[in-house]
Amino acid sequence: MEKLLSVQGLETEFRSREGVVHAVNGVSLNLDQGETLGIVGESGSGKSVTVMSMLRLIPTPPGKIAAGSACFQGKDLLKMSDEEIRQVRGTHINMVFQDPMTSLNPVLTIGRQVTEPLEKIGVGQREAQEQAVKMLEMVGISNARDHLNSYPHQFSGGMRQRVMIAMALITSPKILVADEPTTALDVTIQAQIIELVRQLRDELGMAMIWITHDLGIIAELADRVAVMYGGLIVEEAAVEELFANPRHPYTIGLLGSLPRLDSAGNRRLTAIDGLPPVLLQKPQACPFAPRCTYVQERCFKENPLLAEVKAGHRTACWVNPLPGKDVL
Amino acid sequence: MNVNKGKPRISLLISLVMVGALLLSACGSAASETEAAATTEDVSQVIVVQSADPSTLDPQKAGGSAGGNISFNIFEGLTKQSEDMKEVLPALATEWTAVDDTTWEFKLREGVKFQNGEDFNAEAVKYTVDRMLDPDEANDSSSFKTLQEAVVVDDYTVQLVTTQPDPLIPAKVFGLLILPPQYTEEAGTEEFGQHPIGTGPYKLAEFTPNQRIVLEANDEYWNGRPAIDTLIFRPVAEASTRLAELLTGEADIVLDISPEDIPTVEEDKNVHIEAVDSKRVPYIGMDLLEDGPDFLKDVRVRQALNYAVDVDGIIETILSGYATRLATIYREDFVGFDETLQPYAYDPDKAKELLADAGYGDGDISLKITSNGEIITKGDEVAEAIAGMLQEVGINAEVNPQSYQGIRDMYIGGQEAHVGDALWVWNWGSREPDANSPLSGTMQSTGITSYLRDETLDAMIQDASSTVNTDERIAKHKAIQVYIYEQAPAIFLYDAMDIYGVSNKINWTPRRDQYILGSEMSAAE
Amino acid sequence: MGRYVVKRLIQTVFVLFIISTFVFLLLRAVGDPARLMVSPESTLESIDDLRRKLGLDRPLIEQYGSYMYGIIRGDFGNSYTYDRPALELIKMHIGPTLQLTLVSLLISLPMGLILGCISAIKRYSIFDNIATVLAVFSRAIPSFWLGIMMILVFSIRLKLLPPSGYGSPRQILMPALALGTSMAAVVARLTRSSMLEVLGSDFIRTARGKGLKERVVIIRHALHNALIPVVTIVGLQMGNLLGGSIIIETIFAWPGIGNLLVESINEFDFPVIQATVFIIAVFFVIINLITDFTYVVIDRRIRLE
Repeated sequence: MEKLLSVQGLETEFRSREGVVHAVNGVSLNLDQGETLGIVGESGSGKSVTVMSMLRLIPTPPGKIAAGSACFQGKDLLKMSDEEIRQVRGTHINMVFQDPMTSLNPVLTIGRQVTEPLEKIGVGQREAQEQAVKMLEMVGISNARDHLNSYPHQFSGGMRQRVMIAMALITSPKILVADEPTTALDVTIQAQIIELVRQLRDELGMAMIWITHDLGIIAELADRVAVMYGGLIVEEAAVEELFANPRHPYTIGLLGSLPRLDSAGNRRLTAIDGLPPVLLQKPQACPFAPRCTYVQERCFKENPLLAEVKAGHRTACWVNPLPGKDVL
Repeated sequence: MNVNKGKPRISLLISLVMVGALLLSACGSAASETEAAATTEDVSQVIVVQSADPSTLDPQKAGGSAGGNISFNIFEGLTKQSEDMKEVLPALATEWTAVDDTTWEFKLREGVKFQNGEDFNAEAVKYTVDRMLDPDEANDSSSFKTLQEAVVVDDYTVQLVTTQPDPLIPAKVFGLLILPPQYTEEAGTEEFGQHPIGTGPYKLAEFTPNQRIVLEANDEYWNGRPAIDTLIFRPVAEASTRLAELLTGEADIVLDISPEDIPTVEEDKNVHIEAVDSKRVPYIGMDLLEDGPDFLKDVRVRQALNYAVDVDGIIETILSGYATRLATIYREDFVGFDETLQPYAYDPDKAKELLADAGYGDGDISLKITSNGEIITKGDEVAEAIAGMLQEVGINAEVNPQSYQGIRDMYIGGQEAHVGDALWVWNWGSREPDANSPLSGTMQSTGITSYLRDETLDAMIQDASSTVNTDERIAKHKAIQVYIYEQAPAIFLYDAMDIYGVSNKINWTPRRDQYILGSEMSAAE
Repeated sequence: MGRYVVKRLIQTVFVLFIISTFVFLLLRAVGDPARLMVSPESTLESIDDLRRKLGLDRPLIEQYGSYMYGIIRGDFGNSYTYDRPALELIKMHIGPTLQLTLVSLLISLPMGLILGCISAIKRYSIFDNIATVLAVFSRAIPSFWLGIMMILVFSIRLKLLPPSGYGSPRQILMPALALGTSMAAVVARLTRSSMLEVLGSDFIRTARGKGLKERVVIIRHALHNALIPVVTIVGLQMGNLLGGSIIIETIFAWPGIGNLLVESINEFDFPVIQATVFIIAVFFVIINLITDFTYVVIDRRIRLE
């Protein structure tokens, strides 16, 4: 069966004062109809850039998509004309961004901003307003009709993120891309939003890519997880498999740094020493090697490729199998 | 990498060069020869551009020349002066005689009507004189200090009675512009200033302050309709804009061309320069009041100052030669002008000698010269040059540049406040071909800008001004010239020329009195 | 809102009171108008006559009293030189000045906005660099010099436009450009930096993410936000425009209040100077008000109080 979305060998780089930063270095991933893919990684791991590149929302210059393809329903988004990609964006693949405080235009009304995607595909103003009201109510904004003429500053952060979600869902997209949509919100609101998204996804039957550095959210939402490090996917597996059987030292580190309610006593959180790399060169060795507890000589010489360790579970590490899985 | 970094700079450089080229092409392109469009164009309209705008056309209010230029087209006096101001010619009066020492009788021209149909007669003359002398009106009557009253003898004969003998009355009544009694009264001061009516060759058609004044030929004019149908006066304060108006053919006559712009005008085929000795005589005033600087009280110092200044050099370099050297403040056209009196020579050694005689060595004298560029043409440059020359003879001279208001406030009626410097640039413009006005204004003790208290000179001036007999007056004026020449109560300079730019389409020569008369213009060829 | 208006009105009255008092005192400190107005070729007595006629022989406090009382009644007295009400003169001259500033605003504002937008969108392109250089030049060049250069180029060399005067549309072009160039430069630079900032903001990414046309993103989403600082500067620059018009009007013989002011200062026409300064102050106040209200229209987050 044809994948809904299939990204192959995506490479993205940025010009900067210090040189060219290689942000994404050959990422491949697939998304099935109705599936939720979680992408996890530290900031700077290239997870946002990957999805932005896919939708060509990278500012160019300084950004540049150097290689790869991103086929949506069989058509390569990266080769589309500006006009064609515009038809995909906001209609079939919609995004919700990280910071609801700044992601809405402060000088336009809520109604205006929510109806824009419909307006673009030729829905009449009256009809678009009706749909907006419906959508806003669906995401839990009461008196939606009265709020059409409100401005973003009259809303709280959580409300704004609901608006963003309504705006992203109003065209019934095939894919919703959520880029750390709850990071800026406090914990209770976070939970509400996640619950809301889960409901809507199930209701509308769309596929979803959820970017986060929070493995807890992934556990709740995702079907499959891709772990990114240094602009590469270092491990990919179904969510239960990944949590139960992490194979990459970085993933193990991430899971180790996740506070677990079920673990006994006052076990120390294991943070990963060191900083994620700034990639001024394409990685020739394993980018995680300098921080890796299990590092071997080979890790500094060759970059391991993603390889299947089990059906549906792929990882990129020379050390396999890992010793001492019991660190968890 | 390098390419990426370098690109913005390269394009910045390119754009800099482009802008530079643009500017250069704007400034440097060869003087585009414009087709001499002086074909047989119909010259029925003459546009005059001057620096100031008259605020009123009421001839008794318009003291400055801007109003005068225009008023003299609408109104007429009893007499008129020739262009060089040497002759007095009949105008609204046909003949005049001195009945006695203090009474002049004028026979008036008959059949003359004002532009509104009112008759011109002796009553109109009397009305005009009464209005001018009315203290409540605060009119400009400075030329007529001696005038006491007008007496109507019959409809066309009028006598002007003076408080003391005044031989200049026939020349002065050129400036006594006659008003229509009935209309003037009905209109009131304000309205009359905006809609004046006279007997002159032109009628006012439009008066828009700061924009334009349009005069149209008076078909009923007693001396025949003038050749030019329409005269338009426009104020343009900025000198370079005035020049542009001339060079683009937008203006036919442009006043107050700067000496440095003369070559530009001369290069253009369509326009030319007209220059005439001005009625204004610049000089460097000296503070000779009791509590003024001591060194100026010594006549040798005052003479030394005159010897130290190279006036001819100033005329050549600063005024491009457009001035006539004078020995005193007497113009060449003044009654009794003494051409035998040689101006002070430029002789710095003699100046030093005189200063040494007076007991002043190098650096003993320090003084300031107040300067301004509007009081006299190139006043700041002239003052700078003089200061430099005075330094040559060991005087610490410094220029004190002032605004037009500043210098006027310092010296007009400023004797009491006495805040002026030792020297200052100044000038005096006399409407009559006689030294009476400048002498009484600048050298007689009671003068408005006089900083001199010399009883001998006061008496000589008083005597000359009330002498009716021409030969006697000439003799007395010659004596005054010698006296002030020797006493040197000023640094004597020159008679600067008024410089006009004139279109080749018209025939017109400027007048010494600065009036611009449409009746004296005609189409060239 | 009502309270705001009342507060502003009280402020305005206070500002105008201070300004009129200041002008009154400043003029009296500069010199004696009778001595400055009298023809230099007149007599000492004529100075006194004039002083009496103009009422300048009265005690200062009395002059001030009648001056203030006059202002309250909308009477600035009669011009010393024109011998007609100062306000009437201002009425004759205000039209051309408003016309000039308005035309120059209509030229410079869109020019500045468009140039600034293109510069921001095509950052570091040749166009952006040329625009930057031009803007720096335009800011640095004094408007009077620009005016004279324009006369040299367009009137004398190219014979395209009349060098000065008032009346035809051809005559307003050069003064309006000379006056507006620096404003256009300021607006262009500010629009550019403001646009750059806005274009990098999250909501622009949101708008692009919605697949909106780039034109819609730029105009509806970016420019609208970028305008907020521009409005402030335009408000401030309007003052410069009025001030600049004094010089420009003199150069181009434009019969506006700038020209009237220069002339009345030269002639020491106190009533006209006082009235002109007062009216210019009123304009400043009005411009500030308009600026404040424009904010509210553009950005609903701002409330006037």
